[in-house]
Amino acid sequence: MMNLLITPDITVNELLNEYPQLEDKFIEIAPVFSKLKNPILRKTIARVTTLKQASVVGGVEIGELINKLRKAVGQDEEIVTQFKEEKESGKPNWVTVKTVKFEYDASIDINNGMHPVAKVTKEAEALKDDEIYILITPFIPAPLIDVIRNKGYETFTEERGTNVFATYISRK
Amino acid sequence: MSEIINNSKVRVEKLKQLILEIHEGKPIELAKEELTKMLGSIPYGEVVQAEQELIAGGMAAEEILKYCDLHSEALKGSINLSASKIVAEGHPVDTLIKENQSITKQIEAIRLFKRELQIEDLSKERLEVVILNIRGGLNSLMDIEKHYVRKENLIFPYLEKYEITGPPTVMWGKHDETRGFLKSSAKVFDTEEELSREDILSFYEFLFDQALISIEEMIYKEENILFPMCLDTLTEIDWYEIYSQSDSIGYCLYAPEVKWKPEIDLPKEDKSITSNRVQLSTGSFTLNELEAVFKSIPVDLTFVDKEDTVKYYSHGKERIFERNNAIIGRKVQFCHPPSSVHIVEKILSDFKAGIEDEAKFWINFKDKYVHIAYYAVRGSQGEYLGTLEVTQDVNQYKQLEGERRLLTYDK
Repeated sequence: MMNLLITPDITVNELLNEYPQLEDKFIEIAPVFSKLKNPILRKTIARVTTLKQASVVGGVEIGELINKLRKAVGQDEEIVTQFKEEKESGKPNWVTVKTVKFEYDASIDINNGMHPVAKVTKEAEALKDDEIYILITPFIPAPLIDVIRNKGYETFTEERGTNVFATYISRK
Repeated sequence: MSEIINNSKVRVEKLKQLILEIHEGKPIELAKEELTKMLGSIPYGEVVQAEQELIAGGMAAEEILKYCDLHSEALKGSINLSASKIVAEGHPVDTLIKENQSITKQIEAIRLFKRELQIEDLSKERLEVVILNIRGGLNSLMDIEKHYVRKENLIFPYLEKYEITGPPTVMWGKHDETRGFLKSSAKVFDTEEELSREDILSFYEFLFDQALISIEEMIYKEENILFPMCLDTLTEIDWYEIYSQSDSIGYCLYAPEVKWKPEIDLPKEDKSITSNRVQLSTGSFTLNELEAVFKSIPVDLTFVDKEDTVKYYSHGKERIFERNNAIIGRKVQFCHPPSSVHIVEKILSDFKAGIEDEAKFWINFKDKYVHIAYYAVRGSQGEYLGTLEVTQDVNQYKQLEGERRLLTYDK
């Protein structure tokens, strides 16, 4: 069982209470938050500010913030292991034989504060058995993958570049 | 170069002097005249500078606010409406723009109070006033929900009909971001602890300012991109449909004063509405009668539904507490001064839990002796349907003595 998953929706306090060692890392990524060392800020602001909001205030892309924080506590590896049973063998077979029906790059929407989960689940419903839906995101969308898998789809996520992840979604 | 700096200094001084004169009771009209003369040549930055210096010198933000209204009044007519077509008064876009003006005014007020926070030796009493005003401003901004919902539920579907999907999607995301910032901002105040000047300053800097900025950015996007695009795309019939459904969602910090008539033949007004009877268990009314009855009752009523949303208020001849249609659809928690909102919460939760059924207050207000009563409204099974506020001036009843058995008209 993984510790608290680092996502845009958790608050700065939730993050720092779970991973106190991340305080310096957080300030390094978003220097504007150097005042976090001040108990006042921890008491008032960190309690209510989500990581997504902090990224806006700090002028950092949300993907960069999430990936760096996950990496610092080894969570990126944990997620990758959890969502990639075929880690050794590269892409699973279905990814290579099925045809890509849609590709949706949600990076801009996510930076604009949108949650792609509703859109993705709706669009994935239109998939035929031999088709694939590709979702592009700035970090591994772990909670979304959970939702999709629980609906009976299989998924495979690969890193395409810095802060660019492609998640393949298909019916089992 | 030095000349320009001096001029700027002179202008700021002049502005400060003018504000002070208003403060000391100079007739507004006179000041307005001088201000109008000056404004053409005064950069807005200097106005801000003058306000800043006055606040640093110990003037209260409320005083400056008086002048702010004047300032925008003097500017009236010189502001370019950015909508590509000039819209008629009462048109849905006109209403959205007027709401934006109210929102902008609210943001300006908040920023003025925030400037007082920068005074290091601010007195404790003054700090309390400033915090209450900032919270009050935040409460007012919560009304923005109605502005956004009208866009999302009424305007965006029509754009989608014409296959314009990009801007609505992006805007909806931005709405949610702003909602998040406002929600987080409100949470800062759910604490028993007393907030210090530094607390509020950090709150402003790291959270609230971002909420204000994202609201302002949205206003800019609406007036420069969305509204012109909608005016170019939607037909008069589309607008009429939007207009007809707007009332049910409600308005933000502003209530439309003029009925808008589209330039199309409207379907004949449905006569059935006047003959439609509302059947109750002990009789019936036509809608006209019902409306008139509520108007003639000598008490002011306000009804809040079980979701704590203001649904109805009656408007008699002399309402004690001013209300207008902007209040419809607002959460009751945001209609009260922050200092008394905990009392509202307590009453509602006791009503909902079925512990209590009424709560009464009486206060001196202006020249009236006002009785305010809250009643839990329950359905036939005792289930909570909402709360009715009944307000009246009870001076006339307090003064009664003896009897009056003969017809006498009170003048």
